[in-house]
Amino acid sequence: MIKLSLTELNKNYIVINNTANGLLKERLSSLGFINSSSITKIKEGRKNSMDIYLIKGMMIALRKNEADTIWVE
Amino acid sequence: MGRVNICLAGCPNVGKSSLFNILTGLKQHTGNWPGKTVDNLKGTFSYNEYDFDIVDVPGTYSLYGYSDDEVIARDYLCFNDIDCVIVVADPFSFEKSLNLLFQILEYHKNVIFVVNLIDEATNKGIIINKLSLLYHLGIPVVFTSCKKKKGIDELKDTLIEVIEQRFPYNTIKIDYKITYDEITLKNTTFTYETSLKRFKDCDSSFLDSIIKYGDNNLKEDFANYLDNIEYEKHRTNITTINYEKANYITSCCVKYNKDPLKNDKKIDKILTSKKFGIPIMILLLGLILYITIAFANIPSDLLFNFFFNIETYLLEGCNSLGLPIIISEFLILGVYRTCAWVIAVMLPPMAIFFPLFTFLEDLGYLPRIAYNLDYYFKKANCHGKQSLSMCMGFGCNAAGINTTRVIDSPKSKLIAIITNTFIPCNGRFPTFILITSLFFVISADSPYNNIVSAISIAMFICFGVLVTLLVSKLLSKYYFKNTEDTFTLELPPYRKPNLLRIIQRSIIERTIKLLFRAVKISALFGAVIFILANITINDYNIIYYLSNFLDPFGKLIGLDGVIILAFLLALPANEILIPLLIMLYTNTTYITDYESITSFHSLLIANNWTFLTALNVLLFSLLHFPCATALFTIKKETNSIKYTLLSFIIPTIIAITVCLITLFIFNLF
Repeated sequence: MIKLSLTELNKNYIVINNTANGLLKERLSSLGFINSSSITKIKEGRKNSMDIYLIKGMMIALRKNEADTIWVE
Repeated sequence: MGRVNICLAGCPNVGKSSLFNILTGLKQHTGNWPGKTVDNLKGTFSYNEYDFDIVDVPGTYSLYGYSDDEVIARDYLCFNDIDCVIVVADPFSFEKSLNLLFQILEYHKNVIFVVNLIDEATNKGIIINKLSLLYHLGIPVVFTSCKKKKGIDELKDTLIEVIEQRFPYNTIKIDYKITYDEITLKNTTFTYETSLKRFKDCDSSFLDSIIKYGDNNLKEDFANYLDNIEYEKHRTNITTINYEKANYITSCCVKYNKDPLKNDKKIDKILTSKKFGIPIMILLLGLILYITIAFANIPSDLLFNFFFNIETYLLEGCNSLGLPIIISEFLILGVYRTCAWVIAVMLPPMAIFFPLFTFLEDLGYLPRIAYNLDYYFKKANCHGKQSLSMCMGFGCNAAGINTTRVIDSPKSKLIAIITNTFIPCNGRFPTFILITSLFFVISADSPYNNIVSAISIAMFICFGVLVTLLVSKLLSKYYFKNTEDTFTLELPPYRKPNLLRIIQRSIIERTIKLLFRAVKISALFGAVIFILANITINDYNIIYYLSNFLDPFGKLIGLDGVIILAFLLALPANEILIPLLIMLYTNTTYITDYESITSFHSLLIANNWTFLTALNVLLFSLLHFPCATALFTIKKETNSIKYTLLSFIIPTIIAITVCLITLFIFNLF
């Protein structure tokens, strides 16, 4: 089990836990960041900036600290 | 037969607005980035003896109302009598649309599921089994393609089938395993049964909406009730169950023959790359600004000639009607001339800038700008999407402020609104170009003067961006420190923009709307300026007394009383700053243009302008309070006098401070 931000590029993972709180948790859930969703990091931004993930057919950019709230395997 | 209320709902960027355009014939803007539709847009159309009123609500991922746009959509869907809801989905990210559909089905029985962009999907290797979808959802399913106008008649026929209750609904039922308690009310009877049923998964914003559309007496009852519910838990459960169901249905009905986002990923490799992303963005925005500035002069001059020719006829007309000279001068040289001036200077740059910018918007490029720049905005504790409102601010700050609606976080939205004025709009560029060409030169006849002037303007813009980031950081750290902030950014697939629609919409929705607002305020200020210039006390007009009164303060910050007064009187539009300066320096009673650049330069020199005065005028122009149109937009957008005042006060204090600093530095040498 690793944090989403630490995943390898172009490798498929499964979301197992969304540990965000409040508004972020709900917003991420609405975008499909829920348990058992398939997710792939498709682009790494510069250090401490946003990475792009492919989830539910959408390209979603997340900051590292926000991606850290999602655990995958 | 009768009027039928229908509502178009869907996630952001699924082509909902295009469908609205086709159905109503009323063209409406369809920006290709999340959260674009600004308000509930209404239209009508008739079909088979039915008259349909159709409302296009802002794109939303759910009915939980996380942003202002989403609250508008949620409230319309939950609190209105709607005969039929059309839920629009795009085939690329099917599950998010199904999640929204399931939530809407909790509130509405008559729902049609429309899969839009179907041609694009087929081209990208996505095959959807319509019958299977119909079987799983139990509601009518229609496939449409707005580009080729496919499926539109089928949709209209389906609408009538639904309205006439001929469709055998067998709507999918999802068990969320939540027991909905009966709510006993102390004061009132609550009528929105379905809303009440779903009340457990709603937060205080939903309570506000219930009160807004229901009864004030409900407040106490529901506030007590809300304390005891765990809406976050319920919402996450509901979303999880919805997505599980959506995933199952998608796996049964949708087949992906190839990666539908293959080309988008390729383009993104360049447009969002670490090396080329920002240079390409600067190049594109620079090009748009260059085209705007370079090509606005000709139509501007034509408009000037047109309006001033009319002015002569109008004055003659007033005289022949026997109006007293002072009245006709008030109407024509005061009110009319100010309005004409604003139109002549404001219209051409807007009519060039907005279509070009809208082109990038429809292409889907703007979220990529937000992505590229988020690194810097994060350092300033704010939102990457703020860069979009800043880009729009180059065209018009009022439009920039409108654009902040796409920012999900209320905190970042307010920061973006307050700081938008630090981005120089089209109205301020003529002042920058004129003053830099007069004072930021090597020598009178140097061939490098234009380059020096252009570099100076670029440096002013960079300084404006820097101040924006700095003030955003300070506001975020000290003023809004306790506000929650989140940032997620969807990068939609690239789409081919429709040129004709872009021109129509950017001109009608943005240019004309903002111009009309500016002209209304200018008419008022034109009248005020004329009165101030024409009422005399002891042989001097009020303007003389005002500028003398402001002179000590002006001198204190390296300007003078006339300049400060000109900035104040140019509140309706920054475009009239230069004509106001000429009017005030030459003691004329109405705004007027310079005869030649040399004569304008001589006028300024005669009034003790130095390089420092020019520098401080430009800095003050860059950093001072927003124009009246922008302030009006801020009031409308924030619905708060407090934030409107803050948007006036903060930039003004910064402008004064920066002018004091430059004066101090100059005095050192």
